[in-house]
Amino acid sequence: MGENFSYCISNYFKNTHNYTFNEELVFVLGSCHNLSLLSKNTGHVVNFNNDLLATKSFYISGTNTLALQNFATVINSVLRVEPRNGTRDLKWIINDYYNLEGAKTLITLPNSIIKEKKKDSPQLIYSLVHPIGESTEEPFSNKKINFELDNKFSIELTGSKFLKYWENTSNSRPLGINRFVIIPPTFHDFSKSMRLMIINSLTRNVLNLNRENNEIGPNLFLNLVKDLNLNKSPENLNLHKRLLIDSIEINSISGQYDMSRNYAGKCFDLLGKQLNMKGFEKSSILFKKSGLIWSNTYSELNINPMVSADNLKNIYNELYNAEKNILYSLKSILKK
Amino acid sequence: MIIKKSYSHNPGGSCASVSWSGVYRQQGYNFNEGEVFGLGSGLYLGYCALTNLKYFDICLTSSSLVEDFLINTGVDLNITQFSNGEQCLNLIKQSLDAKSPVAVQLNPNYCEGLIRVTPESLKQYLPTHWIIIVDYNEAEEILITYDNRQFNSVKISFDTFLLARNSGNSEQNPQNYYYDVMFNDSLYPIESSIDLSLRKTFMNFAQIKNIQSLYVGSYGLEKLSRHIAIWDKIMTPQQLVETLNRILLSITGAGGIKGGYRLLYADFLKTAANKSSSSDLATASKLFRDSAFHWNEFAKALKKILNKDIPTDFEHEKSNLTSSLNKVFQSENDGFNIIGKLVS
Repeated sequence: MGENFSYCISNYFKNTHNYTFNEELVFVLGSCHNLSLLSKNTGHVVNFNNDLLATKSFYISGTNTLALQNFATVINSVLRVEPRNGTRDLKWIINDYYNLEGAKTLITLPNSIIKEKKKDSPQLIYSLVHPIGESTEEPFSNKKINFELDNKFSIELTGSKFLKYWENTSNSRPLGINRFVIIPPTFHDFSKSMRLMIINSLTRNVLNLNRENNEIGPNLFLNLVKDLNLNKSPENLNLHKRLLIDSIEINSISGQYDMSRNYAGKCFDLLGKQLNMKGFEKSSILFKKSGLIWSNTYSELNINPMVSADNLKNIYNELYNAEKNILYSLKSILKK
Repeated sequence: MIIKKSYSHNPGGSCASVSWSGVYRQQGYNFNEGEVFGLGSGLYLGYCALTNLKYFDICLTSSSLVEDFLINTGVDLNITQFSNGEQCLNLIKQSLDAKSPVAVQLNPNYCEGLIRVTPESLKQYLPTHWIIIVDYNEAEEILITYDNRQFNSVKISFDTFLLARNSGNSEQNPQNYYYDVMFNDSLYPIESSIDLSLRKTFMNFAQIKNIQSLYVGSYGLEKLSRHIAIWDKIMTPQQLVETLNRILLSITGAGGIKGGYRLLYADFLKTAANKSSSSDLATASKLFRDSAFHWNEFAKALKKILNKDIPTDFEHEKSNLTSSLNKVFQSENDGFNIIGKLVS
């Protein structure tokens, strides 16, 4: 999901504003890296209790669902959440592209728009939207529209199909299915400001992961182990297995199955080099290590129909250590 | 009737800060008005200059005060815009049923208490107004609310509320925006929240030039100081009166605010200085008290002009206006130099 957010925001600016917010910068400024147990119904952090897995209504999110809000706040931009207004939105998407030199519209959508996706969830996806082809007089509902989700993945739909997704969604879903406008400020010295903004985002990232909650940050895995120790019934083992598989699938748009950890590693690596910032390289390595563990977990759980409590505990411990090391490395960046 | 008995209202000058202080208090977190203002990086200087339209205005509080306060203290926020006001009202009732008061923005013209205390000439310039809803009565179709400057609760009918949520000019219309907040088990440690907010306020003042036609921070102050000198040359007397009225309202908040919100910020810095035992922050707090004094002087000069013969008196008072602004600039610049060293 991190890839999706960073790609869309970065490319939104490319078409509308002069500043270059490259993908790696957007990822870090959005405090995009995350680990939290969310409700599939509301998208809110759920309270951990002993019968946590008695329902299947939870998933682990590896990306901050409030990344756009974080990004907009940290760069001191104006973020407008526009009201959804059916066909008028469609006209906006089409007119902007033709009238504003190829400006693409930034929207959020339910992930059910991706047919290949195995699991529906409240985790919204970002999309850059623009019409395909030359401007014509044909009705908006027939016009083909392109949805760019990341640099590998895009979808084409007609205007009328788009409206089905757009209008059939509830207004009260987390984050909201919406059209967004972001207006960045003009900085006196962009590179100097950038450092200050990065420190603020990383501070917030560390504070979020380091809460004394049982549902956020690496401690989440310790509590999942506790739950396993309390109930080793086959039903409970299966629920744990489903939690992991579902979470990894929900967090992946185009088949990475690594909770966006490899992408995070790439972002930290590139940004550290660009800005010559200490500690980023180490974080990058740790993100990639964690990505490997997440993708191995996905393969292993899919291959083995039966998984033992010990197997699951080993997986949780491995993930705990990997995610804890990432957190330590982010903390050490802030101390430098 | 769920919350009213247990809700205690602490009146104050900044509607957003008072309302959100109330929301947090109900969750067990005590932040006074100044602390909400400071942690929300509320201190701001935005100078809007649309020269072609002869439109000039200033803004002394950050438009993202609430968002920053929530984010800097570690509370999750989703902002949704409702096309259907009743749907939003139902969500508010659900929140009240769960014993959580709700802070919302209204068209100020529907806020009796505010309208009553606002001078006639300034009413048209009042921007969107924050209130806190603490209870509702389904049978009577009323909401029980508190307005920042009043001690007593105010009843608003459902119908009036729906009108107040989506009416008025572009400055006054809340457009049915709803702030859906989620408190986690704990807030960020207060030292971290202070740190995040200081960095953001410093960014606003020292690092940003403008957002579209809004000149920001020290750059905005410099521009304002220079532009004032020519306002009477490029505007008609009527345009000048409107501009000065708008600016007076921004500084005084219809009379509820002293010193262009700088006293609130000074209070916050004093708290921050005590928490971190920082003598530097204590010095910065004093500098913002000085700045508040100079904003008051600036407001006094504006009132003097507005009470007399315009533009003759503008010409006479011009030097007082620019001199006050230069002193504001000096104090705030010195204050942010100290803060900048602490956060950079």
